[in-house]
Amino acid sequence: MHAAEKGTACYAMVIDLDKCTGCGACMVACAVENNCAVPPPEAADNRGLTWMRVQRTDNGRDWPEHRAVTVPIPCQQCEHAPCIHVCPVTAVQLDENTGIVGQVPQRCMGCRYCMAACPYHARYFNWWDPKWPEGLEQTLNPDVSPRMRGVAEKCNFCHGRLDRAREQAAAEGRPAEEAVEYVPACVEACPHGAITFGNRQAEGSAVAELAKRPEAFRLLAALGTEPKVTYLSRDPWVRRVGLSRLDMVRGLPDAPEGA
Amino acid sequence: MTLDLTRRSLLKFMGGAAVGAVLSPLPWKLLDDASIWTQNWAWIARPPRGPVSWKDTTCTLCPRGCGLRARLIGTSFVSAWPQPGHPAAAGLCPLGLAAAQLRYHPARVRGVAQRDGSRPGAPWRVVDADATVGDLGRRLAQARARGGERPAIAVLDLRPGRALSRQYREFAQRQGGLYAVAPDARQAAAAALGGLLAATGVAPAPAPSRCGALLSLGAPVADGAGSPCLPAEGSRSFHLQVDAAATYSAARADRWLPARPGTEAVLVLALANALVTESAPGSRAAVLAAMPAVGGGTFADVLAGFTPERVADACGVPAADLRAAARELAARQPALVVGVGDPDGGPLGREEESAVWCLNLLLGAPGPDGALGLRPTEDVLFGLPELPAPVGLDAVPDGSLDLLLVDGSFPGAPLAPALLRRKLRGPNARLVVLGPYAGGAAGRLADVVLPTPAPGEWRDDVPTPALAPRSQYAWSPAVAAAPDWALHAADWLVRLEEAAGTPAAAGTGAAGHDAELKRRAALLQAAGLGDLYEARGGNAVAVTTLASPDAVAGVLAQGGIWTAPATLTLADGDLRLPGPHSELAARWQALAGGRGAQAQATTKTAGPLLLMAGGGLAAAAGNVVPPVLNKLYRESELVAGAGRAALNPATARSLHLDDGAHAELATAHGKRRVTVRHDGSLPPGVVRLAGGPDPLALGDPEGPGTEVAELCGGAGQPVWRLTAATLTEVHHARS
Repeated sequence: MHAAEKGTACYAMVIDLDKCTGCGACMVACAVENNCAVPPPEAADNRGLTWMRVQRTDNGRDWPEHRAVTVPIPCQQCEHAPCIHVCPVTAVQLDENTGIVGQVPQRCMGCRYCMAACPYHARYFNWWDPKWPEGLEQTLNPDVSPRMRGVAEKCNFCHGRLDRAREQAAAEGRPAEEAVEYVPACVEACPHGAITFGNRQAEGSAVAELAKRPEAFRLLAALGTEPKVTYLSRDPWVRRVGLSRLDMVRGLPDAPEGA
Repeated sequence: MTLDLTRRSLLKFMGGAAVGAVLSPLPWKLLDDASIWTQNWAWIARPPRGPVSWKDTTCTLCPRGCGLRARLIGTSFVSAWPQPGHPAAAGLCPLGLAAAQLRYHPARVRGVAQRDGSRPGAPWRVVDADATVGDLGRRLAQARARGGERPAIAVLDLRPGRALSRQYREFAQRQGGLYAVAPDARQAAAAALGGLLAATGVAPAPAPSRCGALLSLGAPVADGAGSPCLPAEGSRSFHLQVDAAATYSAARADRWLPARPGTEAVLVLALANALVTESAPGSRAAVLAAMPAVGGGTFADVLAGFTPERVADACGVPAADLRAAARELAARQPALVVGVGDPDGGPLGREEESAVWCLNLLLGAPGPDGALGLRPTEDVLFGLPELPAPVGLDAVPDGSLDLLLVDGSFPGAPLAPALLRRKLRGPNARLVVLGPYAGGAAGRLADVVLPTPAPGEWRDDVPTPALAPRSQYAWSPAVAAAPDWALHAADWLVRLEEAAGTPAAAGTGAAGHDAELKRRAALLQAAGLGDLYEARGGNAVAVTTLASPDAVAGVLAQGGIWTAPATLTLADGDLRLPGPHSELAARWQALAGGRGAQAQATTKTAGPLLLMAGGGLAAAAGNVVPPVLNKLYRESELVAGAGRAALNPATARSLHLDDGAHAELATAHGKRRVTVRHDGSLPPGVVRLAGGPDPLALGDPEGPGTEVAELCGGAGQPVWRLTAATLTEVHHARS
């Protein structure tokens, strides 16, 4: 049914840090769309499931020269993804038809090599079985499978929405090889239009044009992972941090003592 | 060749079979199947199944009224998404996006619930509804009889202006009680304009899209999910931000004035002084300031005591910068000044907001052509009968009430629960919440919860939010069915009155509420003003094109919204600027050193810190928070929550407090354990605590984060955003 030709589409994302206000709408929308459970109260703060994580970083100076920026960090969907190379059970795959790095929970055996390999800390592990308060399972999205403990998971550019878009296209009689347009949850939820998403191979693609701007940069670009998420910022210090320093992608909350 | 069954042949066969099996699909199929079988245990949640549908409605989790598109799987309300192109807002905030989870919050009661509210942490019990209502009815009758000059009953409406609000007001009137409100920062800002006008029934409608310069006093214009003035449309104005901390809005501003906390009033008066003294004699500012003022003298006489040079030391902003800012405002007309402050810190202060409106009036005449529009209040818009005016909750005498009914809607900002109990007269008085939850600011210290439908389960209405740039009105049609035990709040009022021996009056109950909604729709149609935005098609149609009230009601019932421009005008003669002998001028003089200095002068501890409340998600501070907001508060620390005290790093080092240290934050109003976070955006000597939920106790139905307002003095004074505090490290393994 989805017999798209190789390289039909390459979905990419551009995030404008000058528009991002750190409201967190993208984080909540992602969790709602993808059935990301809430860890139990005894969990350390850095054991959450935040497929889209908005990281706050600053220029390292104190008041009044202090300046901060909020950076939404989903899976960067790297063209040369380290997580693909290290997975011993091929639970991680790059779909050449979409450019999306997919995670197959049923194959994952929980070794977490992928988490160690990811330089963006964009992978998360189900340390516990998800527990939903009574009745809350009625709010789960049926387009996304709930995961159990012991498997890694990450952003997949809302593959469930891509599937829905493909089904809609098929129902409309459009050719299967034609690339479809869809919008991930974070893009739909952002109230400031800071996130742009689309097929960068499409003619007149907005993401392709935005990625060419002089203020565009990619996180830790020197590593050669070729991420498909591009960031925009007019502030030079933001671009410097994003290109070279792990501060942009680290900064997970400290675990409580004894954790 | 013979087939001898020997040990060797058997071993050869087994070896060959093993190699052959590996080369076949069998083991890999078994591995795959084992993976599937072991990942589909019975305890893994199953999402709902069914046809997918969408319903449009309006979010009611804060007064703003954003359009919400509900995704339904069968009859399950699964998720909430923004309505693109909605006039009220560009999208949904995190609270709205998680709205579907509120129906299943752990704090939701499943029947009439009761406990001893004077003991925090006392357990809740589901009790017999009839018996409890009967008991409350008896108390209602006794309180009504005891009332007279000093009412013993009050109804606290946390979302005034609605159709339900009319029923609360009429109930209070019939029972001889008070109808009380607890304005949040935006509502308090809007209300302050009333004190400067001779006219009544007029509300401010600031329009950032029309201003050439915007001065914000700590309001997060560029932060979070939107500005207090609703989405800024059109061209960008020159932005001046007054903020003690290096906030996101301050960093994005064209000019940042890092004023000391609590000096907003004197800073604004200094700007007004510079504006008046440097403007031409015939200019509006000069003429207005020279007009006779309240109490005699002129407003210019008041301003004479607040020159930039005189207030510079108190503000921490050089006089030259203040004069430059005034010149920017004067040069880039029309200019607009917004108070509000950080909404998470409660009201900015009547003195500050009055100063803001005075400066706005000097900068230009309010009206549809300037940056400050005027619109009718809800009482005028919907032709409400003469009902007693609302009283502020802080004006209700302490210890005067036998029965306090609290509407369980989501307030727009933190509310101190202890303030509610202070109004009760003795241990036999009752605090009753009409809401779905036994938690949040209203429910945390309540004695009884009468369960009502959760957000999304009943048709509420959303009047114009404070400081909106236009008039607007919407309904929030239900997207899911309410459970049997949840009654409409209006029906609970009827049951209470019947139990008190008062027969149900006309226009009461859910039916009366429905009738009021339709009456409002009919009034809008009859007035023929404004447009109706149809949610499904995304089109706006003029009201004049709709021939019947039912047509207007039909659009609203489908999640649409009515909007109309703010077109009221005022003559200068309607303005009442304060003179030098007025009470307002005296209060300004008392604040000459700033509220922060006042707060610190009251403590006996040497070298105290100044505790600044704020920095959190204001809309999430007053009520229960959906579990998924843990993503913001704890799994990422993107949003500050109660329990995390932010401190300037240099100040922290002077107090020997490392990042992540456990400490005790103490004020004159109480103490609590916190985790210290170094935050370079804060000025030295300041510690900031957000009014939201405690990230370490997010699932706690009691919502202990509501203590922040009490810790800052919110139970005793209307302005509690600044207070003196000490921070001492506590040595133990976990807090």
